[in-house]
Amino acid sequence: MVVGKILDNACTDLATQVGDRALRGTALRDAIREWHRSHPDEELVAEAEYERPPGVVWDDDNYRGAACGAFAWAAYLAEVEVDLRTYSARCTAFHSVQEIGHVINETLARGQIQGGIVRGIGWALFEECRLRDGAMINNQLTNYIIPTSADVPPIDVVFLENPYADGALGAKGIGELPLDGPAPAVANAVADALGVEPLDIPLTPERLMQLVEGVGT
Amino acid sequence: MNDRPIQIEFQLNGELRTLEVEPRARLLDVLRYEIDCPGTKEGCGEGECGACTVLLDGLPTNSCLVPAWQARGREVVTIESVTPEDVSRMLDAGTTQCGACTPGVVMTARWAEANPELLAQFDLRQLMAGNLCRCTGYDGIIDGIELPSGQEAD
Amino acid sequence: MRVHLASSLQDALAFKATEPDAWPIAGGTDAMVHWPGAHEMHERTWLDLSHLNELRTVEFRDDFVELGALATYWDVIRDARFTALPLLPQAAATVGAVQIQTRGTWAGNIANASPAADGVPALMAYDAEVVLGSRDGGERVVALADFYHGYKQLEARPEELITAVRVPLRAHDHQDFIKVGSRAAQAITKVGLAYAHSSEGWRIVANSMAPTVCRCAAVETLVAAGTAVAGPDDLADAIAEDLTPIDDIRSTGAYRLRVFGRVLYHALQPICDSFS
Repeated sequence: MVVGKILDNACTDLATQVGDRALRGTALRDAIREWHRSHPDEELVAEAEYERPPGVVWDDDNYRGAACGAFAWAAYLAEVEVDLRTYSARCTAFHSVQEIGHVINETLARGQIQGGIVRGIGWALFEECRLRDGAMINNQLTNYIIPTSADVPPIDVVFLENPYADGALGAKGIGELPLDGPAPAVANAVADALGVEPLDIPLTPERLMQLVEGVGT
Repeated sequence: MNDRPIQIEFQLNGELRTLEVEPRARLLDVLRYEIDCPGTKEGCGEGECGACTVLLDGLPTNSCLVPAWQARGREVVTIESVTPEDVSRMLDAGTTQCGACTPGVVMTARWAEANPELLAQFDLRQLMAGNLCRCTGYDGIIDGIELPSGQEAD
Repeated sequence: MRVHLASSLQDALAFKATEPDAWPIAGGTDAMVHWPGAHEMHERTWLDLSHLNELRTVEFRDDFVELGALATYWDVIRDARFTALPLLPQAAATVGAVQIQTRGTWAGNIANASPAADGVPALMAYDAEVVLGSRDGGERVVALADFYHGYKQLEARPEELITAVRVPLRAHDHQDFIKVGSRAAQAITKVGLAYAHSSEGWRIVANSMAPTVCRCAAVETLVAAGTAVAGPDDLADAIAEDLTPIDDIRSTGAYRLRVFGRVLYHALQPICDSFS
C-alpha cells in the first residue's frame, strides 16, 4: 500500500496546485488543461514521498525499528502421502489461514493465496534449478517440473478479517505472503511421515531415498 | 513437393480459409501471424504447457506441435470462437489471473464441458493436466468448469 | 525444408523408396518438440502421413488387434473393446496429457524409439508385432521385442514405413503397467514396468532402464521357474543381468535399480507367494 499511497498523495498535490485538493476525474482534467493554458511553457510537477503511519518508527542510520507499517500473517497445514516403494511424495490436503487486513476482493485474494501455495508445493516436491558450468540445464517445462492440476489437492483458504487502519480500504499486502510458508509446511509433513530431517528442497524421490537409505542421489 | 509455400484450406471457427503457409510454419504461427487470431498463446513451444491449445477436429491439440500443412482439410476452433457468456462461470470463479494460460485452459475446459461422458472415465484434474498454470493453483480453473448437474469437482 | 504430403499409402511407400532419408511425420508430438529452433529439422525432407485415412484404423480380428499406423493413444483410451488388452489404455493415459494423447500414435511411439516410451512396453508385454511396408518388398512383420538393436537403432530398412501394429488377443491371468514419473501427469518415465502372463509364458518389460525398452529375460526365467522370492533383493541379480539404468537429468541409476526391484517385487509378490 506504500506506493499507492505515494501516488495518491502526488495526485492530491497536483489537484491542490491547479485549484482544489478535492478535484477528481474530468473536473481535475479540465483544471489541469486550464492551468496549462494560463502557464504556457511551464511544467506542472507534483511530488510526494512515503510517510510512515504515526507510531511506526524506523531509524535508517542504524537499521532499527519497524521497516513496515504492518505485517500479514498466515498459518499453513499440509498433509502428504509418501509411497515407500518409490519415495514419491504427494500433497493430499492443504489448509491455510491468513490475516491480510481487510479482504477487498475475496475471489482474487483467494486465487492469489491458492496460486502461491501450489508454487510452494512445487518447490517442496519438484522444482529445482539445476546448473552445469553456470547455466541452467533443465530450463524447459519438460524437465523443470511444476505441479499440474493432477498433482495438487484443492487448497483450503480461510481469511481472518482484521482491517488495518493505515492500509488502503483497510488492506495489508498479500502478494508474497503465500510463497513463504507452504514449502516448509510440506517439507515438515514429509519429515514427519518418514522420520527424517531434510535440510534441502525439493524433496525429490531420489533425495528422500538418500535420506532414508543412504543411496539415491 | 518443394520448399516453397504450400496452399492449404481449412475450417477456422466455422469459416473456410484458404492460404499459403511456409513449410516450417506451425499451426500456432499461422493463427497468430497469418490470420488475425492472436488469442491462442505460445507458452513453452514444446507441447508441455497447453497455452496454445485449440480444438483440431474437435479434440484438444497443442497447436505448437502441428505443422500448418497438417491442418489442411481439418476443422480448427480457437479462443476467438468463445463469447463472454460462454465463460461467465469462469469469470466469477477466478479462473484467470495473469492470463497466459487462459486461452488454452478455456479450450480444454469447453471440450470437457461439451463431453461430460468423459467424466465417467477421468477426473477433471486429470483432463486439465495438460494446461499448466502458475497463478491460480488450479482451484479457480476447476471451479470455473460447468459440470453436468449432480457432479461435483474434487 | 521439403515436404511431401502423401495422398495414399501407396504414394507414401513410393516416396520412401525414392527418398529413403525422408522423415515420416504423423502426430508430430516428438518431431515438433524442437521444431522452431533446430536447424536440422529444417534441412530434412518430411513425409506427411497424417491424412492417410486407411491407416487411421483399429480392427479387432479373431486372434489379434491391428492398430493402423495413425491410431492414437486417445483412440485406444476411448475404445471400450480394449478392456481385452487393459495395459494399452492404461499406458496411453499416462502419456503426456490429453493434448498429446489425441495426437500421438502407437506407431510413432515405436519409431521414435525413446527408452522412456510408455506405449512400447505395454505393446511388448503383449508380444506385439510391427508391420513394415515398402514399395518393392511388400509387407514384413517383426516382433516388437526384436525391433530395437540399440539406442535408436531400429530393425527397419530406410525404404520401409511402419504401417500397423498387431497385438495378439490372448487370455492373461496376470498383467499390469506401472509408471514411476516425476509428477502425476505430463511426466517422462523414470522407472517403468509392464508385465503380462498368458499361456505363452511371462513377458516382463522395462522402460527407462536401458538404452531401449526391453524384455527382462533373466527375470522372466526366474519367475517362470517358480523360484521363491522373499523380497526385492532376491530379484537384484536377475535385474542387474537384464538392465543397466543410467544417471540422467531425470533420475539416477541407483534410484532406478532399487525402485524397479521394489515395484517388480510388489507386482509379483502375490504370484511368488503362491510358489512357496
